[in-house]
Amino acid sequence: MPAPVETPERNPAARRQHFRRVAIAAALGFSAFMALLLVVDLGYIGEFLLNASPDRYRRFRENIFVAETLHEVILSLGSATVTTALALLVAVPAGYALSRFRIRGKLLVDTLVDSAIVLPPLIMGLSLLVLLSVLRRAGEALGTPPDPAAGVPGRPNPVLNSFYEFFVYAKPGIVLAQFSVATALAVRSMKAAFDAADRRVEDVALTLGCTRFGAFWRAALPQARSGLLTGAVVAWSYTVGLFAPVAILAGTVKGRTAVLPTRAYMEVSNGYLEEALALTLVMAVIAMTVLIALKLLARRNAAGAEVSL
Amino acid sequence: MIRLESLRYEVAAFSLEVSLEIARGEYFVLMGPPGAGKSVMVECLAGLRAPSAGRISVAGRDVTDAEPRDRGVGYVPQDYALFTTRSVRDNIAFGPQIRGLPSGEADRRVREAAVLLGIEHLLERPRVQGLSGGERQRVALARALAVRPHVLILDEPVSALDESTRESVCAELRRLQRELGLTTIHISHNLEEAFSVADRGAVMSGGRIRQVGPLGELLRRPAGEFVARFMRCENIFLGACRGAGRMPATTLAEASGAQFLLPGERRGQVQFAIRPENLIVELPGDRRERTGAAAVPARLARAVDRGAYVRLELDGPARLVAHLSPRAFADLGAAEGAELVAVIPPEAVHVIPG
Repeated sequence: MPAPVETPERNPAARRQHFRRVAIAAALGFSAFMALLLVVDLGYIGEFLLNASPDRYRRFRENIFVAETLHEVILSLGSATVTTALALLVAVPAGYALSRFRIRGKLLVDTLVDSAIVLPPLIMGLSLLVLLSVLRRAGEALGTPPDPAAGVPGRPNPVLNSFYEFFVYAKPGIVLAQFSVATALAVRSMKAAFDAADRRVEDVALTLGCTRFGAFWRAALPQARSGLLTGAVVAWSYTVGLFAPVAILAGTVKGRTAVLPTRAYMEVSNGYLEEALALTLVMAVIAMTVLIALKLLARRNAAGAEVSL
Repeated sequence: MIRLESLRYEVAAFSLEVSLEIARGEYFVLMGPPGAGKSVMVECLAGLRAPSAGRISVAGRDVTDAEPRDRGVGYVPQDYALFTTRSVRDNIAFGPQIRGLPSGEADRRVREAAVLLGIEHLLERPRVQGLSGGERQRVALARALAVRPHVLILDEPVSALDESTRESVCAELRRLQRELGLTTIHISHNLEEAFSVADRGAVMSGGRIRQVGPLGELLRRPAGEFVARFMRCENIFLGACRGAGRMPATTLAEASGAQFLLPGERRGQVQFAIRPENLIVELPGDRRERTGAAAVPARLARAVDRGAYVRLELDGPARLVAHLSPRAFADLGAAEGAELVAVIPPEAVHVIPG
């Protein structure tokens, strides 16, 4: 009988090594691709700065190093943070309900939540604008009619009208547009976290003396905290880069409602690719710093428990 | 102490319908195959599921509509369901704290429960991860006992433990229950485990209680074929009575082409069960005169050594299973294929009622 040949296919240890290399190559490959994009952007801007005409260079400086850019950075980070907090405020109870309770028409409810992810963000923004316009028109129809005899003009219903005033072409509109999309992502992540949490722990908490809310708060939520952090990271990172619905609902007024992504888009559409790239890089650095901080926080928080972000 | 009156609960195609009484201080074991409704029943008792009809009372108080926290029921689920984000001490202190006991009293309860279960040395562990199966179970028990429940529910408390620790844990559970005089319901599908802890028990299947009683009675006097099979009685026959036996107050019955002697005077069709350990197996030549017993010719098809006993599968007019002590089997000196006689006295036969 011939001796068995030690090929990598026959040797289980070598085969494991083989798989390990392929899996790690996939992870490293994709992150290298992202790094390449950022490095090329940086090189492109560097080359531009070295060769730009004095006029073009001045335009670049005046465009980037202005108070508006700082305003956009602050507005981007602030709105994404507020949106994430609001999204979690809805997503935590909603994800719990979808995971734990029997709800009539749950499939439909679940699908409607997903539709916020599936619909193109542009359509989301447009739909929000249409809704607010309809509310404004309803406000006009239901308001006080004009009195021609006394010369008093008609007044729209103040409550219905205020929604349009509050959101459209205003900062709250940024948050509303981001919230509509980010909440769906956060609900998904919270539902998955509650699905994975042991429901028996809540049962035991109930018998030990908790109310239903107490069992949720003290037994379910601590188990789902990795999902909470994942939800926060996903919602925040998606929101901070969101463009289309924000541009449609809140507009892109420099120094007022423009955020970094909308501003970058304006620069591209005006032909200033280099400014757009520079702003993109600023955003990438800030977003990655925040994500690394959040992940370190999650890791420290989870000492002992399994959490992966 | 615990009374379930015509309790009903439905979910999808499954329905539970039970009535049961358990006395104060009793160690009661609830047995049955998976899906029998054992867990559903105790979850109704603990208030974790709302029954559609019936009444539940604990310690003389109607708790049918009470919240789980107001029932005086301690619950230890199968996977122990410890709070993984809390320390061992905080796990045990959870109940006393949530009930608003002063911190001195809560500390005292924690210490008391830990001493009772011999886990004081674990109290300072910052996490429950890394505890062994047995330790986790003790922590879960201490956590349930720290609120001083009237009733303790143990859902398959030892099934996650390895065989060697099961026996000692069962003895420990029994000691604990006696020491505290605590009414205990223990869910199990293992007969050895049930016998090592409980006085009385019930066999469930399909959401119904098939029989309740002392465990010896469930074993020797099963109320139906299901209970007989569940209690591992393998010799169950449907026979026809053929008149009085030679001994007074016996009946001759024919089943599977063999003749059996049943206790009592009976007519018509009867179902009867013979426990494998009650069969006497002899060589045909050795046969002593036993006028009062049925003798069924049998061929030894297979003998399996199970350690504590040898399981004999006998072919013949009727298929029989016998358990012999290893000593008795050695004395018999029979190899597979040997012709034997199964001797079955009427007192070894249990006629299944109905």
